[in-house]
Amino acid sequence: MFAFRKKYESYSDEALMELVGKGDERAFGQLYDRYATKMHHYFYRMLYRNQEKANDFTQDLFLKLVEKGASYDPKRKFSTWFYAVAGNMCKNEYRSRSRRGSTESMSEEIIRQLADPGMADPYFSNPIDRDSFDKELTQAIEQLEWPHRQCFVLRYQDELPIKQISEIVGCPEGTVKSRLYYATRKLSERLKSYQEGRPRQAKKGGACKKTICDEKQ
Amino acid sequence: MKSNEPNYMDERLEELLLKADFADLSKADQAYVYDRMDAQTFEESRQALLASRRVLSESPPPLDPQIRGRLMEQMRQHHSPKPTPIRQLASRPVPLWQAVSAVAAAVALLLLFRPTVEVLVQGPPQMVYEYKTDTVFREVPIQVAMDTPNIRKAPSKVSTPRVINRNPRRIAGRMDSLRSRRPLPAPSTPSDLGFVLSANDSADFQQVIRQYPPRNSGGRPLTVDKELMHFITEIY
Repeated sequence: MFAFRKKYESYSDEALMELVGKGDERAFGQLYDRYATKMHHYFYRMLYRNQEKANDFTQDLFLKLVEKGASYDPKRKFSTWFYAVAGNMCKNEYRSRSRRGSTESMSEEIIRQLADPGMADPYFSNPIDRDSFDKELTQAIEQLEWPHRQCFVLRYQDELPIKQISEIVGCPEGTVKSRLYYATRKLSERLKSYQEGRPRQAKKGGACKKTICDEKQ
Repeated sequence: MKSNEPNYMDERLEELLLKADFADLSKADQAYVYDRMDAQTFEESRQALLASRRVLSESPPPLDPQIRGRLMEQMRQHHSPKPTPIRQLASRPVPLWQAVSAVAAAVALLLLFRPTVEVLVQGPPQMVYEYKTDTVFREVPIQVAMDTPNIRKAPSKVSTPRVINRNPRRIAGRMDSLRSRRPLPAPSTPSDLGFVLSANDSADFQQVIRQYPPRNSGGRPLTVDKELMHFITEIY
């Protein structure tokens, strides 16, 4: 009996998506296993490391797959389409947040999270220098403008090619390259200012600039 | 920062940024980089990129494991066939007492209107008489008066006795004399009416024979005609 079971592991995303459109549960399970962690990571990063929201958005994203799976065009690359849907969800979240007129801006939320290391990131319990640097960098990434951050995360977190990123965000490749460049420059400037001010803080915290520089690969 | 610094992330520049420090690059690569930015900017960008990749690659808190189960349930519900009215009716819960009483009623009906089975036992054959249609009849000649109102007047179709036909004069005289007489009484027997006695079966025949016994004016009685008697006996 098991000899006739389909080996979904060898199926492409597009083929699995077609099966999902026909109501194949195992195909859906396979797609979930392939993309759930990635998409959760993406949402986590794009939604300012809000774990609950990342969970909710991941669930909603796959729910769209269930409900609108039949409308998927198999000629399109699945991952591109999927990231585009996820990006639109994030964009809508920013818009609704700004419409609500929340007095608490994103950056303030991040600052509040960063002020409490345990709350911001449970994996770093000791406020060592590298953690401080990483938090500074994380904050800098999250404070990037939305289009720049989206391209930057897709490129250096999900490691997607520039062509695919351009399809996801719906812009020419040149625009994507430009956004990546400006995002990199902005981060480097932020880190530069951080490193310049760091020695003064290091005297208090017992860390030094050299520790950060040694992290180079 | 150079004035001719590009405003986009060139693929080769990105590759070099991720590859090595400016000092470790080849002369050609250094020249390529130097056309776009100075060494310090290269180092700052490199550091930012590497650190960002490291930060971004850090695993977030794990995804809620219950999401998968919930989604699979949604998938099952979304693609399950829509309930038809018959299915809805079939899946409707029924109180136990109703189900039990329905079964009891069905059993009672079966017991009350239990179908009976007739068993036919085949016995020894018995001889019975089956009457067949009687096709035997007799022709009885009758004497009919010419002025009988039951006889049609057309002389060509009236069958006249052979004896009378011999002498037309006597016929005419006889006709004259008959006209002057009073009419004959009405016939009392079918034979007098001139129709043929017929019977559908032997019983009818016997009844007719009894009711209207044949006269001895024509033919022979059955008791005398042995052959006819034998014929009738053979038939019946």
